[in-house]
Amino acid sequence: MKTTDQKKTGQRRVTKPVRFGGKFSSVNPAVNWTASTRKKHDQALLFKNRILYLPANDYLSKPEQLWLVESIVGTDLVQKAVLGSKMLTNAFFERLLGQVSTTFYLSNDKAWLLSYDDELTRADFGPLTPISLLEAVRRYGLPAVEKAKEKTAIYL
Amino acid sequence: MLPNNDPLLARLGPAVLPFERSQFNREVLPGEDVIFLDYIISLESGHFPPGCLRCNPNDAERRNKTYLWVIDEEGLRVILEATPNPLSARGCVCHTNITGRRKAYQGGELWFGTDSVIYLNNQSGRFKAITLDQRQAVLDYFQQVGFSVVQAPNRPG
Repeated sequence: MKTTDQKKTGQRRVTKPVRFGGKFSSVNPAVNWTASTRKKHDQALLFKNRILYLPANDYLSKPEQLWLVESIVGTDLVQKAVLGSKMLTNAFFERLLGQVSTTFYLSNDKAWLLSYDDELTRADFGPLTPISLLEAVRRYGLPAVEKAKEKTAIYL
Repeated sequence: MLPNNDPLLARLGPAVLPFERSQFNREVLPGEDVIFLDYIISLESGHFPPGCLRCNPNDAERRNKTYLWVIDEEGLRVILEATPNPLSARGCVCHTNITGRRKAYQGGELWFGTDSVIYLNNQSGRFKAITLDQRQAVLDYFQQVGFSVVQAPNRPG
């Protein structure tokens, strides 16, 4: 149901700063952004028949890289996430990556990022240290993490 | 191709769906499940394929001469990793462009050495070996087919 403000302006109301996913944000991620909230330099992309906007962020530089996120967390999760927000902001990626329980691993010498913890991997790399998906992406970036999944290991 | 009751297959397997050994922590994306029949090469003859790219596995140039290998119910097959895949966002082929969404026993990368030896590893996020016995079974399979084979480190260069 539209609020009085929305009826007047045709836009949804931006909320006061609140805490989402451990970070303060001035925008409720559950609220759909309208095209008018898009900034001039945000890149627009069409994904599963939805227009999304990619502002400058720490995770994805080009719309063409969105497949990396799909590859890591799965297409279904990305599709669900974009129902809640058309803006692919830092908060969007952190919320999405933070809800996946996938664990990565660092080799004993911290030189390798690995996607498996099994007998063979331990034989090759020594004792492994677990690291969350979000932390791995924060430290090494989406391309490196995706490659670690595809190739089982990547040199850092 | 080994008969279904060959004990070596039991050591290789069980055959698994893509990413099953990682509890399906990833999914096969569009275009990655298209079987590239025109580019897949069977190694069941036990001979290097005519025209295959050979390299010294210690040279940096080997990255462009990497083949992806898979052992599944069709036997031992490879595809040149640099094969373009315009149907996939990745842009090049992956192991499921050999198998589709079907099960496979094992997968990894290999290089055809200029010394007529195959150098292989187990680097496949989709079908990798997870035990030392599986890794040895892979080497045994290649040798049983007829190749001289060397285990390369499971560390991308």
